[in-house]
Amino acid sequence: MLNRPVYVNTLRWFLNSTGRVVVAGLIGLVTYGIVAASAENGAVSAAAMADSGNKGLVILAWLLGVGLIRREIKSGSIHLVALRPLSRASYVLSKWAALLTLNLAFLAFVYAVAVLKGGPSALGGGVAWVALAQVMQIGALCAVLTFLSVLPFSVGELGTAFFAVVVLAVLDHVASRQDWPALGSAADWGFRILIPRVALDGAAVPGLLAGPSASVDIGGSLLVNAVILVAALSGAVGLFARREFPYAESAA
Amino acid sequence: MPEFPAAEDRLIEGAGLTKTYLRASRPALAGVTLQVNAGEIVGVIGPNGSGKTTLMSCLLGLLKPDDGVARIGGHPSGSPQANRFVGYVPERLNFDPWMKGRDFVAYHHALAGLPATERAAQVERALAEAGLGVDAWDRPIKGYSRGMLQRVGLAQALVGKPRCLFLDEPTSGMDPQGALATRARIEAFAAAGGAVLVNSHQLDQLGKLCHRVLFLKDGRLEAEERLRGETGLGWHFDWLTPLPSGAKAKALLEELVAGGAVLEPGGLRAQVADEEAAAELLASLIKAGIRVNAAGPARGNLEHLFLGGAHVE
Repeated sequence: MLNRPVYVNTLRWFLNSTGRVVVAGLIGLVTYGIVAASAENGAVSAAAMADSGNKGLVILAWLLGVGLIRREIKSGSIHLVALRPLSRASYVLSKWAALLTLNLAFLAFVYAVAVLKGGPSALGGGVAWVALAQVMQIGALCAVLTFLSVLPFSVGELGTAFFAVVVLAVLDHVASRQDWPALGSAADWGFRILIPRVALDGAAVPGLLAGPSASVDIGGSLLVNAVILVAALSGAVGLFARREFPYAESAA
Repeated sequence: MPEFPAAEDRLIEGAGLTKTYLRASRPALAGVTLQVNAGEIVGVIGPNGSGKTTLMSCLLGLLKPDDGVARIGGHPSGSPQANRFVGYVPERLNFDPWMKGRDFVAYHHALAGLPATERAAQVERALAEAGLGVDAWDRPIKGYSRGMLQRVGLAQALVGKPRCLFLDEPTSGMDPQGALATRARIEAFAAAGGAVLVNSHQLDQLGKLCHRVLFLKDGRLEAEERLRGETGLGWHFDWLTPLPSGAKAKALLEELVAGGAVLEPGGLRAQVADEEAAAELLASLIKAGIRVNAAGPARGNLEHLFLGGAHVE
């Protein structure tokens, strides 16, 4: 189902995109500092890893994934790829897989730092289960970004990022309002879908907090993010399969 | 919905293709029917906005027509089966700028699903045949001139071993030598049994290259001009006016008109079997006392068709 040339070419594009590589490197350095310090102090916990992942991983995934497919539609280079004998589904899945690979590499880097600085015991206390939940989180996050990049409208990469921040801020604000319970709940789910996360304190699916970690809702997070992943990826494939590529849409 | 008769050599087929863009006041394409057979080069001309690119996009499956059918090699356009037949050079050469020419063509060789073991040799052959200088093969595309982009675009189109070539302004930006070489490459492709559809404003190039030219206006197929092929070549003979009034000249011209030639002010348009026949006709005209001052393939008709059509509102 994956198309190897598309997958490899997307990875090569990321590595050739100097700006993204530099910013990703900076995020990596900051993350290294935080995780290394925590590990040396013996402060690596399931909740801390999940919480830091909810922040650093999300920023990195958005940085790498904004405009994943939209960029090729805009430049017109999609025309040549769309006329090759591969299914549109395999194209979308390959782009998603490439984005996922880079983010998983970053996750592996974070855990490697934790183990190297804190010793193998750093992965005790449910941290390994959190890593599993984070893999699903990244899969869902990459699927959402893939879906956003095949929508038939776009305000550009920076515009999308700005738009997302505004939408997320509004959703966050509405979700925190105690006087609008129904709306707040809807907004909270909107936030979770746009930014899949590993939930703390049983917040993913109430009642599912149990098992390997006492403070992270691993079961609930896996379930919610698996649903988001499947829905977003199916949506992306379905939209892209029906999509037209008018000449006027690409840059002159 | 129109149906096509199955035919092995009908490589590009479109029937009743109609397309109206969202919020457009008139259709970009209105019931266009065409076919391009194996071994044939067909040009599409027309003023800006006449529907040339929309037609090519519908035939390729990049756009879905509101009505009508498009097939390539007998398969629905846009399907992976149809795409196995396709090589395409767009007008806007927005190739991945960070890639080197060799890598770009290799990428498309891989996308075409061709064996990796043959990749290096076939990529080099395609680059060489497209006329891209060896020194440019390993340079990033972002430094290429328009002519070099045309060449690397042709190489990526040919590297997938297509049977149908879709070319949008294939020689614009090329120097005359490059245009000549590209024309020879396209002719060789058609001679080997490929079908070629070319959009271009370069009427002179189309006149030299195409077997047939279709004239589009306001999304409709307004006219078709056969330039060469099984029914012969279209040639023009221009002469100094006034015509000699001798009986010999008059009889010859009457004979030619009866045979289908068209008399125009200051000249004649005729279908001839081949260039040898054209030379014989030229000799007959001179022998009859007609002072011919120019003769050649009837590419001038394209200008006539284009300008006439473009000016009619």
